[in-house]
Amino acid sequence: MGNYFNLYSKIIFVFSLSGNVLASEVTTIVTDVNGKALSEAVVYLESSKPNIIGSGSVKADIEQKSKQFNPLVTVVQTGSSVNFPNKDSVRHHVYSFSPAKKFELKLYSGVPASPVVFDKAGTVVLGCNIHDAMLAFVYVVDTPYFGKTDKSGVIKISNIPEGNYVLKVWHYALVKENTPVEKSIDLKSDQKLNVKLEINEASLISGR
Amino acid sequence: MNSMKFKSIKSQIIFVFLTLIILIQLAGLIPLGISINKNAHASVQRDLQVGEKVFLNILDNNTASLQQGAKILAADYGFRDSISTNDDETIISALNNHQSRINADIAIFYSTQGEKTIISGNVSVVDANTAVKKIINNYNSNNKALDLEIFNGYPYQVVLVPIKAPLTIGWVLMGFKIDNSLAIKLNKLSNLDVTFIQKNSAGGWSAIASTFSGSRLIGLESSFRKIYVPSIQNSDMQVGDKTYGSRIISLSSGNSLVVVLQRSISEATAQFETLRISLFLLTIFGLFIFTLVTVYFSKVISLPISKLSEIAKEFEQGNYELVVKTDREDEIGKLSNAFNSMREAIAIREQKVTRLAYWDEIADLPNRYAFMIKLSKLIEISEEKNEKFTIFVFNLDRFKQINNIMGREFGDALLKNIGELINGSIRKSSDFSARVGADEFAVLLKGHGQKEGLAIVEGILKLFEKPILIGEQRIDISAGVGVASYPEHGKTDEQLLQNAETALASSKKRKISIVEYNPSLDANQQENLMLASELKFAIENSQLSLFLQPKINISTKQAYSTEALVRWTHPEKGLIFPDQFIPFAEQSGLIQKISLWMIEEACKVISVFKEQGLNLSIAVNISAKDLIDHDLPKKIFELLNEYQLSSESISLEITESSIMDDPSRAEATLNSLAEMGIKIAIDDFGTGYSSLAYLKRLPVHKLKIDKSFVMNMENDESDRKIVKSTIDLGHNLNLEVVAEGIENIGSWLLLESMGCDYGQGYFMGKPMPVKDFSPWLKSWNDRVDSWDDIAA
Repeated sequence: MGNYFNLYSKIIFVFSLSGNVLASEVTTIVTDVNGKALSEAVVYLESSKPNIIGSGSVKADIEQKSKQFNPLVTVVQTGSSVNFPNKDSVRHHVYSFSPAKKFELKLYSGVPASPVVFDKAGTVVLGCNIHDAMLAFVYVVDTPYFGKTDKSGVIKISNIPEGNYVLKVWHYALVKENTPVEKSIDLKSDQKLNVKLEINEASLISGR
Repeated sequence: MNSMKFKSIKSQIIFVFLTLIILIQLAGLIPLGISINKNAHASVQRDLQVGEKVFLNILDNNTASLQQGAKILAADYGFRDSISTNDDETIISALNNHQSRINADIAIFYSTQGEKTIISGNVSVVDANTAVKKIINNYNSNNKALDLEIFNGYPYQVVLVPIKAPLTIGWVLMGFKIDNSLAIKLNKLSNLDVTFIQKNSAGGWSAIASTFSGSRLIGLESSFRKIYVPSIQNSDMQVGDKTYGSRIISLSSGNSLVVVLQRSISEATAQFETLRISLFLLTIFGLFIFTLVTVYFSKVISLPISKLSEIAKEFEQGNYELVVKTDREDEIGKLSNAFNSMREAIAIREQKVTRLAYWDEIADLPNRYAFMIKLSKLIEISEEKNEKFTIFVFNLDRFKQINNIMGREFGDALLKNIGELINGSIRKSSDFSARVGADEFAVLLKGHGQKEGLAIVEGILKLFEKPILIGEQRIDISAGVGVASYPEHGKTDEQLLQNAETALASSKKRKISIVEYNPSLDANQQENLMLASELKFAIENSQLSLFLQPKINISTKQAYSTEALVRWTHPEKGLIFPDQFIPFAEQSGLIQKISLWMIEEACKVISVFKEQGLNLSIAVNISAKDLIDHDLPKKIFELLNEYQLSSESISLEITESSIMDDPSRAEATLNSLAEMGIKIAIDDFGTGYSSLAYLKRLPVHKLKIDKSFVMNMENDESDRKIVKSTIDLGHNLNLEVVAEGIENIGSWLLLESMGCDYGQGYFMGKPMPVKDFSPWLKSWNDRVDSWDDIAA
């Protein structure tokens, strides 16, 4: 699959430079191999230099509404804490068996007393023990440069200092689970990239 | 039906009707049997279809149950927790726990992370991994189709459920072993026999679970191997001694495992068997009733017929007393009445026939047959009671002549008269008389010995002394009688009558009126019979010889002729006189040969005499039999020609009685002979009963007076008178008279004085052989020369 990717990367990555020298922005369009836009794809850039930015303290919310996690995919920097406000009248039992973050929030209503801190990079799959259909992903990254694609599969990450980065794209329906597509880039100006992902159609969660 | 022969109408009727009813019943029972069979098959098919549904349902239920169990396990938080913490011990206990909840035979956990496999149940890791990976590849959460996996050679019905947290982190596989308990469970629900048959690695089929066991299972396997092709669904299979309707369902896509659902057809027909048996019993009962009715009716028809045939058998035995009683008006009644009238008619006719068989209509007496029956019955009785009885037979003298001369009607009337006379003089209560021959009567005197019998016989003979009057004709009769007594003279009917007849023959021969039987008579008769048989041989072998007795002309004293007499020189008995064999020669017909022989011999002798210069004629005796032979004149004529003799050389002598046997034919023969110029003499004249009127008509030339008159004429005046009147009578009729039996000169002289023409007797010469004749003639001539000396 590596060869496959390399073959595509030559074709797919199209660089576009803009005027600002200090900080650039990277616009990534994520599609499947057929060119269909993929939303909820996580795109992030990891610097080859040691992370000097430090851990994030951003607080995020993953609410439960109509027996669904919302949003489906949440990207946070390591050290971020996430709240799980329950907007439903039924109670939920949120859990994760993922090695990146194992936890459970036993049956509760409203907002749990303390948020969950994700301090380890990796994919955390969230489920509700009493509602099997409930599914959400918390993608924990070790970089401040990240984002996820909108409905048209586009994500623009701004204010990225010049330098060498590895651009990684992850999607929950990747055929190669938990193996983000990577691309090294030498960022000197704004860039625009198209990334095509091999997607397991069956794993796609419709309408999200 | 034509080829079958029935001994009775009854069995015929019974056979026909019973065959009919059996055919009708079969016509019902056979289609019934067929439809029962059809129904049974249909019912088995229905059962099998239902069974298949039940079976599939059970499998579905199993699947559902497995799925549920596996899902519960897969969703269990604690279980997932232990997976995430790699707590294998907890994992296996959870597997055990959920496995036992649904009674699954295996439960397997397969982790997608690190490919870990944890097993509860008797399955190897390799097998488990292989199976799980295979199922994961084909996995479709919506597909609830039966999944079969082989573990340790046994098929398991399995389900695989993903463990989600909430993404799939592993799989739970749970399964039921397909074994006898499944078969039994299905059997309990569907009442079918269930067998799972699997294709083994070698490609052969073997049963892995079944409600059958032992030899039945082996039988099923072999039947299955014979009939199985993948497309087959329904089939009849032989298992042991039963036929099973079978449905074969393939359980795996590769046709490597099938289930055979079976139902015994015979068991299915069993419910109809009761119906069939009751119908069969009904048929038997119906047949029984029908047989009774048929037997009754056939008896009504055939019994009278059997009765009639029994009566007909009685008729056959001569019993006509049975009357067929009937008041029926149908054909059998008519037949019975016809039998009755037939019976009467036959009885009357038989009486007539019987009477004719036992009765002599002419004499109006019982006949010989009736006499024999009576005789044999009397012998039986006498033997028991030690009694005596006597029979006698008597024979009318001259009856043949009487019949010939007076006519048959007269003869019949005479017989009837005699019959009355005899019957009138016996005791009607005990004695019995019958006509046993043409002119022969027999009388049976019961309880009389010889002496008393003789007295009665003599009494009857006395009655005959009076002339019998028939019409206007009087007739004198006489009879010979033979007597035989029981038990001295014979102990059987045949022997008694034969002996009486022997005695009768002797009486006739000896001219004695009553002769009692004695064994010497038999001896005589037997000797005679023997001679008769030897006589023929004698003629052909020259044992006979010709003797000559000279005849002398009384007035000239010259020998002018000879009488030819026959002698038989028997090789053992010596010389036999004609008296002893001529009667039998007459009876047997040999007499004609003898007569011709004598004539020829005579011709030879005359020829010889002629050569010697002697001119003598020879007289030959001929019999009644010769007289009725029309060819006699011709034969004599031929002989005379042969020896070149004149007709005067031969003369013939005949007795009165020989003419009377058949007068008209005798007359014709004599006329022919006379025309040839042959002279004819009446021999033994005076002893017979010739009518002179009749004699006169015949061409006779001489009378020979019987020697019985001549021999005593010297001493007996009446004989003398007879001789004298006979000589006169002859002369008056222009006949020459010859006297026989001249034994002395006295007789000679008397005859000479009476004018008798010729003489013959010992005085002149005995019968002598031919060779002696010439010497005799010489000596006779010498005697004539010295006649005067003799006469003196």
